[in-house]
Amino acid sequence: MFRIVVAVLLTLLALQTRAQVTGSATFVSDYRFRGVSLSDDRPAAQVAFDIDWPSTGWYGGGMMSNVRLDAGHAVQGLAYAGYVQRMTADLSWEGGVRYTRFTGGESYAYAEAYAGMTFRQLVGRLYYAPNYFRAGYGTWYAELNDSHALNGHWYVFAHAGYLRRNGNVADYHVSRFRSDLRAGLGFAVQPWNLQLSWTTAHGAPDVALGYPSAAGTHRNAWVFSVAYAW
Amino acid sequence: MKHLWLLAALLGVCVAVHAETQPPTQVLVMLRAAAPHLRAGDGYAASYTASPDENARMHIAHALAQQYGLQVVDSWPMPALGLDCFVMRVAPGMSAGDVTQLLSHDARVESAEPRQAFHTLANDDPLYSLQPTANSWHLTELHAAATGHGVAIAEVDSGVDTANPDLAGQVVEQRNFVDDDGYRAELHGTEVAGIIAAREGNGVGIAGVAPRAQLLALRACWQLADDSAASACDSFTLAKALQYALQKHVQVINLSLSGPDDRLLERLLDAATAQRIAVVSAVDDSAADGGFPASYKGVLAVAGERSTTQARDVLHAPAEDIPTTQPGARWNLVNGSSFAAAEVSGLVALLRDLSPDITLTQLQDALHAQTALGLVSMRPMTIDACAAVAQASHRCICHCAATHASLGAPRR
Repeated sequence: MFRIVVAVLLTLLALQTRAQVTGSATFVSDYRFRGVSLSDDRPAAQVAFDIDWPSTGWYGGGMMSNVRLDAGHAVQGLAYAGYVQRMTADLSWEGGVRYTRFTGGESYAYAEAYAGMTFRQLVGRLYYAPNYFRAGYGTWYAELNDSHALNGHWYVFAHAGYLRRNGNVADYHVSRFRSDLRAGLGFAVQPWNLQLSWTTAHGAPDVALGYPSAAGTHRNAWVFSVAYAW
Repeated sequence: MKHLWLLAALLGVCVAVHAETQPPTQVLVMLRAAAPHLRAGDGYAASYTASPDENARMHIAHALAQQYGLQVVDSWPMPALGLDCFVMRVAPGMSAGDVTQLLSHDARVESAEPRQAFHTLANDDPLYSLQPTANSWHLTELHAAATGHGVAIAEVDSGVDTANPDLAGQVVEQRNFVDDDGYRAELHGTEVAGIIAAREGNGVGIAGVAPRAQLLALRACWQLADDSAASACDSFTLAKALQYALQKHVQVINLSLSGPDDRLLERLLDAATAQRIAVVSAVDDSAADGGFPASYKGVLAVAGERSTTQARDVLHAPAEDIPTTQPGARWNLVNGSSFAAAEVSGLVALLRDLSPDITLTQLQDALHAQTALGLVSMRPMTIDACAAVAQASHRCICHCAATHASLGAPRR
């Protein structure tokens, strides 16, 4: 899967003259992914790049972040590629693939496909990973994101996610579902973007969903982030 | 004193004409913006509102500016068209037309065009006796059935003064697209606003054609002299205001202004008609085709009753001695097709109030309906508001005897 993503990215790079490339660096007080801390409730630094070919609808990009898995330091690498099409001025659909792996003894490498719709600021996506975090079973994740501009450079945003794992959960005697919520306030003055949000997760424990996060991370957290784009 | 006023008004008009006859010194450069999609940081610390790809387009804009000897002076997102619009100043000695040609062939550029000048269409010359135009449209009877309640009208014009008692509470939103200074109250915008939506029954001034409409006062033009309503706009300020009107999903857009054909504005008007927004524009009698945007397809072009325009499909409405609001607690008589367009915008709001699902074609047909019997060759005639309402709502609200005769409704 990684090769496919890289091949797609390289093909897209061939269309460089029409590409729009942007990079960003982010400091985040707690790296929360679908409600789970991948940094053991500690700060993390991330760099990302995105490439758009607006005339074709294709896009791609990648990200690196420091993480703390199984109580040890590691680095996450992520690549994605997709296609988006505007149906009306307010409505668009997209589909793509995303591949993630981590350094260290256990790569937890997995790929997932996604499809979504955007209506104005409202974004809905559905993801499917056949082998989520190499746990040996498929996992579905649905999310809904919304934001609303306030006066000046301020905005509010909210996220709701719902995860369902396949396979047998009898060994864990727990639910196969998990939900996560996030809401916060943002302040954006290009190229800076600051966010303060509160995030929470409910449902199945980390171990039942294959997450490698260190034991004892909190399910509720305040998260502060500063991003700089160039 | 009167001579000073006339001189100021004349100067204002001269400045506007001068601005339009001068070659453009800036160009509008459109870069494609991808539709919203997943990004590397989504789900982590990503931005939901401030998309980082704006930076990519800004980099491209600066690279283009450097390559073609331009200077980036402003930019504005146009999500209705999937574009970002960059304003670039042309270096002295260069032609905006030539630069536009070069940019249009650059693979990074979606399109480019000169930044063009527009002007409002008020004569600002109150020489005739008072004759309330509302009477000819039987406004009192019409308002018993419809007042434009809940219909959002975007007035793209100079600034509107809400301190006038007739406009207090009538303007739901004011936005300035001209500069970064505060919103400014000006003559033309205030005059047009009063005709569309002045308060009714408040004991002062006039009644707007659609007194309960929601007016968005979008300042895209600026007054050229203190005592003259003559105002100028340009294709960039107008595009920003139109983009905002689309974003707010208004039902009517009033454009009491005119200028040269402009591709960017045409595309925004196409987006408006695709959203079933009625765009009403004043006809410029000095232009053979009525001027742009009145001449553009799908736009409701409105001229004065005595207009001699040869342009096709033009609606006619009172345009002389129209009493209306001015900044402060002042009223005056005004003349010009700007105000005929304002009346029609108000009337369209009444029709949309009565028939929320009316299509643009049905709207066009209704506005051309006539209760007065006569030969087609006698037309163009002034809009018959009662006939328009009867056709749009399928019921008689005013001037019923003539309406029934004209529409073939059975007599009882």
